[in-house]
Amino acid sequence: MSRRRRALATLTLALTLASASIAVLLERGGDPAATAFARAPDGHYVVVARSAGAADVIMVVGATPGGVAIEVATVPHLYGFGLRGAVGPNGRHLALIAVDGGVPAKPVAALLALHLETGQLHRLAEGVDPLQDALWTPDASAVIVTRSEPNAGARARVSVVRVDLSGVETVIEVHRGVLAVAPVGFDATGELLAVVLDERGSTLTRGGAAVLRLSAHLTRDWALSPDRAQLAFVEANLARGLRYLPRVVAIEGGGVSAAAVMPAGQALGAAWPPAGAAPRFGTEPGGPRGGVSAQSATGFDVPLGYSRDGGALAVRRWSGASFAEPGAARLQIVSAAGRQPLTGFTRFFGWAAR
Amino acid sequence: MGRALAALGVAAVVLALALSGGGTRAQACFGLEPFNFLTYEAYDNAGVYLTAIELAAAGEAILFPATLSGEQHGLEYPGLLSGSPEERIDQEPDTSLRVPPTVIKAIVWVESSFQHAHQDIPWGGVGRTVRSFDCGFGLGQITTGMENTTGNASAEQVLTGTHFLFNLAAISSLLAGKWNSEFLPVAGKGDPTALEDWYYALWAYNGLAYLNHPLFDTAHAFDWIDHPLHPWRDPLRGEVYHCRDERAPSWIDAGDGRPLYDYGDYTYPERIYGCMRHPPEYPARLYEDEEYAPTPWPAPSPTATATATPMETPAAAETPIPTADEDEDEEPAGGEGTPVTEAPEESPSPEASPEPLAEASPATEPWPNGIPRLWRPVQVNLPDLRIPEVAAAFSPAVFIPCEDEGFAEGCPGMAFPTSFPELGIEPHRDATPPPDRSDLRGLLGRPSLAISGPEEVRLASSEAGVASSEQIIVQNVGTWIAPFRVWVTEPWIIVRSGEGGGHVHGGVAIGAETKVVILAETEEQEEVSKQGHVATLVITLDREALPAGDVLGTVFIEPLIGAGTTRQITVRAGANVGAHESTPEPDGAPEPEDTPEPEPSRQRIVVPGVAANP
Repeated sequence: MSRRRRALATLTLALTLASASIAVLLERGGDPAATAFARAPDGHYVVVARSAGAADVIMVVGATPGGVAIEVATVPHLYGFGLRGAVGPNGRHLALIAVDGGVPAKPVAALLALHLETGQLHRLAEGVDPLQDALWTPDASAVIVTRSEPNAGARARVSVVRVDLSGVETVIEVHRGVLAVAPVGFDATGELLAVVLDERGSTLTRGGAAVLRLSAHLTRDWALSPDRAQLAFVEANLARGLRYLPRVVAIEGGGVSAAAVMPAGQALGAAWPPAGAAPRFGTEPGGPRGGVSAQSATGFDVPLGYSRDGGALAVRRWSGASFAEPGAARLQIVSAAGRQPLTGFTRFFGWAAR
Repeated sequence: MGRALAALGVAAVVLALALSGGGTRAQACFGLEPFNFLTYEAYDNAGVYLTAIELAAAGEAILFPATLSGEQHGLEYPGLLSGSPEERIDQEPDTSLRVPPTVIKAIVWVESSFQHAHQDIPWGGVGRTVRSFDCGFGLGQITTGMENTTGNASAEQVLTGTHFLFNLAAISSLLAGKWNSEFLPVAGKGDPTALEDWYYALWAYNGLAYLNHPLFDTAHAFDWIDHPLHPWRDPLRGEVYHCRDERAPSWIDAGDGRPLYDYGDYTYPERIYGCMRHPPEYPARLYEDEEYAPTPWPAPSPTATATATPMETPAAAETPIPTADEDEDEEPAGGEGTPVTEAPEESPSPEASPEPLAEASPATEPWPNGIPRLWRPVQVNLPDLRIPEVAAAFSPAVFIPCEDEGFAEGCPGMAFPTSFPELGIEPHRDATPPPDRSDLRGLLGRPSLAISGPEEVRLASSEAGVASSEQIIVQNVGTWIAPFRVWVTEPWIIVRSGEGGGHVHGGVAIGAETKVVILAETEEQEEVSKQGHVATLVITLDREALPAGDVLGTVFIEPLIGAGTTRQITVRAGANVGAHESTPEPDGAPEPEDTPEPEPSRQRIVVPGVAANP
């Protein structure tokens, strides 16, 4: 087959899929509860994605052994760019950052919202930062994203934008001269907490104002405690060569300290149990104990998120012995029932419940 | 495969737009409308482009400074500085130092998958040049200097957009510019033969432009998103992009045969270095064709040495671009649209022998791991951030102040060593042998443009909104690729291809010795071939831009290399201008007297470093 014919065949296939998807969506117009997930039994479900090349297939999987995978939608993107995103607090919507514009070397991303029970996909905003995860407002009415705008001759300007589900945008913070801004949650009064990365390292802000110096280094994997009083994160410490160090900070009146359960060693990923007082980190093998509960001598888990009842933890399970040689990886659900593999899924977006 | 993937990407965007109920997507081309160029896509895009890359990397691709009309095209190789910033002061770039060719090969793969033309154009066909949303053109997705500010294209722009060899020369020149820039930090010792020392030049290539482009900004050019410690990138993604090689260490199977991490998860330098380490598969279309299949690489010489050697520099050619009345006794280039080169019976010289590879293939295996690849894997280290000296260079406390100042002082704080003998870490060299300069004749051919059609056209615009038109025939009576520029003096003049599309700013005519692939006008659109390609241009009116009353303008069709004479066509338009009654048909073009007899050839280009077929 010639390359043109092959390309045309591929295009035809993709357009057919597109047409089918549109038809399905139109058909669902009068039935707001149209996906199989809407009729699924009660329980906790992980929301994950399987790569299909130039698209990701969004699925929900029951957090029980042998849990059935339910397809919700197929979301296209540039080849080689998987989706990022987060499930909303009510478990009904999934906010997605989809790189579906530009070219691979200069990707352009959009914010989409997917209704897990209807499969309806809405395009909410264009030109958002391509690699970020989205943050939902506590009432699930809007999504917080960032948009970086290079400033002629100077540093980039990062806008923190609130986008409601009808696509109305409100710029709520603007940070100039920074590398990145990562919205991490809301405090008890509803003020946005964000981490600003700049030449001073990492600074926690509330409502756009600096409240706490987190680190002189870059940080990552931020996780706000359920009571919104503490922030767990991983520090990319460059003082003696790169080390990823777990940290926990008390937001009100406290300083940054190494996580009590992680006295030393490297870690990646952080997650708080819903009722827990301490976060879980994904510690590197050979380090001290205290990471993900199921950490073993061979391989390690990077925690991704607890189910709403705290009974299950989604992890990325690595088979290797160190971060330098992590080995193979699989998504898994760790619970009292053991480990439930999520074979073939590349992305974890959060938990939904019915 | 690449085009199929690209097609899927296009379909994905179509789907996204459909789901969104429509929407606009920002176009990031600066200036006026993007240029439209027509080009020729080599059928043997692997063999031809690899050979051209090696010439371009060595500064041997474009050896003449100006077009036929004397316009400087600026695509000559500038040479490279070497050493620390202090050592570079008052230093003249050395044109005997090359850009590591595998760097350019990987860039071309990452940027365009070795495709100069749009995906709709068949291999060996003629059609529009691939252009990105932000006006990146061709193999290197060149954006620098490609903005349309006047409505007409410069010689540099046309050549970059229409001819693969010039596009590759532009990559080489751009990379050299990044390397030589006083506004970029220097990695390692600033040794251009050390692959690791190219780290910052590669990083800057993704931004492409800030050194030369007044409309871009520094942040875009040297972007934080490509910082290896960006918190939105997974530290466990592996050192480099796997370049879709399932045997690469960073190819982590998600459980369904697809990679857990893909292109978008890696920084730009990680993609380039990754594809250098894990070269893409040779196109099956060529590999399975006896005529185009490459031969396995010679086994690494037991006397292999990692010592860097200066590039061999043949004496400069006095007349780099042959013209139709030169070299009469020499064999014409041609055949299958590919230049003439005989496969050398190669055994690598000790100086040019390949680097010892991490995974040396057994001598009995024709290819490493049994899969033909576009180039020999090149070992290269990425900055090891576990080493304090390296880590310090990537601190945001260093990066941001430098970015603030536009890297005005070169940001010495971002310099990092690439050699740690005590740790057994040494930079690597690109062992690709020096190019065979005789390949250049084939890659340039002996183009000679003949343009036929009226010297004056009268175009009328009817009340029904239909503008009349006239045809111009552009033929290459020489060989290979004849690029030409279309220049108009008035914005209401449109010159489009006879095959449709918008205003064309430059195109190509292909010599009759070259086989050109076209798609049959059948439902199946089967590929058929013809000899050569005559470009048909249609001069017509942009009715919206047409002023009231009778107006006068001019079209210039200008050959840029080889031989030929610029054709000037006067255009009269307006309601009171009577259109010519007849319009030349494409097939009615007068046959130039010296049109060479089509001579299908079996000649092909051979990738240097690859032995002849047995």
